Amino acid sequence: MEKNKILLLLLLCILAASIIACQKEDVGSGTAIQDLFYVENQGAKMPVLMEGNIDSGVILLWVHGGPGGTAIGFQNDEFISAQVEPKYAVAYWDQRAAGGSQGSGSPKLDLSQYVEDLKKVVLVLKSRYGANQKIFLLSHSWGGLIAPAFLTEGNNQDMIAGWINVAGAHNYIKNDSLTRDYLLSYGREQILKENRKADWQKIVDYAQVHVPDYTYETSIGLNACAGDAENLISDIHASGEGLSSLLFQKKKAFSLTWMLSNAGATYFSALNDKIMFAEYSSKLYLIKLPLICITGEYDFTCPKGLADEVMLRVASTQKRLVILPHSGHICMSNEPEAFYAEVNKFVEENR
Amino acid sequence: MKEAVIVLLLITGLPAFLYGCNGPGPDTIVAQRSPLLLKGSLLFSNRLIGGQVGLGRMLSWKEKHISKHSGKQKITSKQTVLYGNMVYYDHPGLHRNWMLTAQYDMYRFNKKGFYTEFTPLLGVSRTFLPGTTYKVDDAGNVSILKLAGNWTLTGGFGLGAGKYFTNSGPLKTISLKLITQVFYPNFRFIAFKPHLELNTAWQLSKMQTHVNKRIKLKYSNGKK
Repeated sequence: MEKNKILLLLLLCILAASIIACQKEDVGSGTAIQDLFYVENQGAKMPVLMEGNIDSGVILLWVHGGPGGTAIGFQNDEFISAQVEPKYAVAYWDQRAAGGSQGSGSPKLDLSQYVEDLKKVVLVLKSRYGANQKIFLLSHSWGGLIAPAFLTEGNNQDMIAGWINVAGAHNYIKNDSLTRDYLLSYGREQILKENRKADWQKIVDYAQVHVPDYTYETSIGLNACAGDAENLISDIHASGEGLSSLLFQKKKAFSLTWMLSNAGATYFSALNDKIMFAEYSSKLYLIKLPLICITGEYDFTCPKGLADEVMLRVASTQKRLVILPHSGHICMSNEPEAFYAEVNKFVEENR
Repeated sequence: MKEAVIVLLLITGLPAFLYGCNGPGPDTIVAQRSPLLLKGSLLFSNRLIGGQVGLGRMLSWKEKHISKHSGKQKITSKQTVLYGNMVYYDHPGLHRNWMLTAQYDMYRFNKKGFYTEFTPLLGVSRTFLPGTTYKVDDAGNVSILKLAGNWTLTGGFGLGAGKYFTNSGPLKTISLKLITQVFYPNFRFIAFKPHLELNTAWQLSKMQTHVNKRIKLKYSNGKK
């Protein structure tokens, strides 16, 4: 009986300790913080991992790709740790139904919800680390749809110091058209040069008959071809971040199986069908923030024509386009030194 | 909710049914007394660590005695045990999780007390997030959410192997089991987490229950 009481007491102690530990607010300061906190919104609990120099007064907020990708698991690699975090703080935010986020049974998955989430993450960052923190959005791919949706809504731009738009997809149907055009033109060129002719022929044949039609099936098919095309180009520098780094990494707040489960939740939701109609080309004129567009020369997934349009349409007076010559869609991994040098330069110019 | 029940039943029920299929009825039924079992387990993977305590009761015990031409007798045995468990694990950076589960262990014993087991399980889970959780209202006011986490249904199955000790000591089994556990709902979908369990089962000799041991006799020529 005595043993049972001790066991029960032990269990209660563990339960209490685990709950108390969850409630403690621990806000880091200094030049090398590593904070993990969560933002709850509409049924989603989204982790934000803060790393780097918060004393700098600058926060780079990753708005990752996907939908259903991860910033915590994929973006916080050795290059950003070495080149950016000593200068600024970086906020790795895993969006709803992505990475390490956790959700109940009824959270909404549509673009307006992601925009609201982003706004709340920004408000929490300002509340937690100080209203004077300068926040730069660093969006990639699908994040490049969320960012303009956020920046063109209300006074949201007032909370942001600048936008780093990396291979952004601000207009899905235009994106698919540009992908198809690039696959056809580049592919035909390679066929004429007899460079991996059979492989390119397959891609060209597919693109030839698949005209963008606002369906996810066509879009995902062209997207897959874009990935295949990148694999055929030896001029793209190999990415340091591969499958092994995802499998064996020890990053905080990351679980590969949880990330895959979330990716499944996104894939099987209606989100992908809804975003086929999303476009912010017509609202880009509202953006007045300092802007840098960074894209890869061989990005078939979000071709550089998208960045050209952003550059043309925004009202920003400070804007710059950078095309990395040996990069595909994941240009921050293909040419990390050049990529983060441009990021740092842009932040220094606009902080 | 209906979807959750279907998902969990499919995950746990079908394999359990297949594993537990038996032939014709027994020849002999012997009433036995079986001690309750206290289980202690260590849960681990490359990222999580935890523990589990459970109380188990044997539900069935079937033996097949096969007599061979040579006069040797081969005995195979199957047992099922129902456990109620309290489980805790900490996955740093993801969540801490408390679960109450019921699991149905199906053992198939081989020579020298070694056995394989299949385990479907069902339960409820309450996670606690490992960091401060903020909520922002429509006016932009930021507040801290206490006890942030999720209630989910949990289910899954385990495959393992272990050793049964026939001596009179309290330690009855040690086993290693791979558990694939799912949680529902997570964004209207399932989330899954695999882990390993190092299990020990101890008999509580003062607390015993009845179980019918069913013995089937069989000859190698196929006649009873």
